[in-house]
Amino acid sequence: MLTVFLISIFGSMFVFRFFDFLKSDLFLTPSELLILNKFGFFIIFSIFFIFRNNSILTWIFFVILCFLLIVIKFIIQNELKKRFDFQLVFFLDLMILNLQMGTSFRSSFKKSIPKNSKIMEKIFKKILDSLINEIPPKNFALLHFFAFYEQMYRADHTKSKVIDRLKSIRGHFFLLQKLKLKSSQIQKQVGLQSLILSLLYFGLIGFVIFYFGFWNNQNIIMISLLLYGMGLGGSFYLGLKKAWKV
Amino acid sequence: MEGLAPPLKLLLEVKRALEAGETVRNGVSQYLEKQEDSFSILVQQWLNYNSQNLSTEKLLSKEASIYRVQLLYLLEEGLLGKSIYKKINEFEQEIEAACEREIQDHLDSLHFKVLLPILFFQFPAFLLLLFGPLLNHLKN
Repeated sequence: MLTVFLISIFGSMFVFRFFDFLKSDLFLTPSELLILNKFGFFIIFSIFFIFRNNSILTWIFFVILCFLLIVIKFIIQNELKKRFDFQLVFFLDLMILNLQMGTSFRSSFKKSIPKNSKIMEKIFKKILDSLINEIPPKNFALLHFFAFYEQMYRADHTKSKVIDRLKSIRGHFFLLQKLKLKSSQIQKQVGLQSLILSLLYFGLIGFVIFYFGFWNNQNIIMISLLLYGMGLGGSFYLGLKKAWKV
Repeated sequence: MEGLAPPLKLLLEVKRALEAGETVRNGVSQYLEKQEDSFSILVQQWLNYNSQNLSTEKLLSKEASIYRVQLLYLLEEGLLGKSIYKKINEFEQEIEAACEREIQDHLDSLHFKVLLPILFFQFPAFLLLLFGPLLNHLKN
């Protein structure tokens, strides 16, 4: 029971670390974070009471939970980047139009903040606050937003040709998106192929366990899993790890 | 292939500096502040050579990418005070096209490359899982 308790404490540290990431990346309010923490406590104590007599099952559960949280973090960050890139072009278009109407840089920024997504509104407001206070946004977990802040900071401090400067920033992000779109084809291709193969493979594992049992064939399944994992890692390595030659 | 190609990053940084009325050296310095890859090490060395008025030909001959070498030669002209903004704009399109070609080449060769781990690891894993338990069962 003590071992299970210690494993639960280890797991809870990981879960609360994840919530902390959510707080900084999704700009959660303290009350929202409190609700999440309560939910985390509930889950961890439930696991502790369910598996209190079996430390191996608790380990397995927490390893799966940790893996899932890492995947969720990755998905959230990717989704945030995608949404930000999508909003960015509209934002810059609108800002240039506002500037052309004679509004000041910061007012144009404020007017152009997208209102259709709460999280994006929070991110853009955070950037504006940092521009006004001249304090770089340290709590940005994603460097992606910080790069944009830097560009806007420089544009804000440009004495002349602000519109040209913004047009240049827009061109820079256009180019970045265009190349990203192209290279995302590689990720999609490798990801889809791996997904289909993995579905087939885990279906086959299920079939083998169902008909022949796990304990009778545990060595075969483990070696096969190891080989499959190596193959999967190899596919991603060859597909995604590519340094520019240009 | 995360982000932009290193020479494109340098070029955009210099272009931004020129548009803001700054010098080429400022643009290069700002690029060096942000980047920490193999190209930035070369750029740092190249900048040091230029500051000491040494010839960079020997240093750049080690670099395999013609785009990186040409960009640094172009920036050298900028450091000497010549106007390079127009050339930079033309070169940007060249590098952009080269990046697109490289991504396309990588995509084309990917079909074969991804087959290797499948053939040597994933296919044996499938075979082992298919026939291993069956043979075990027959043996028992």
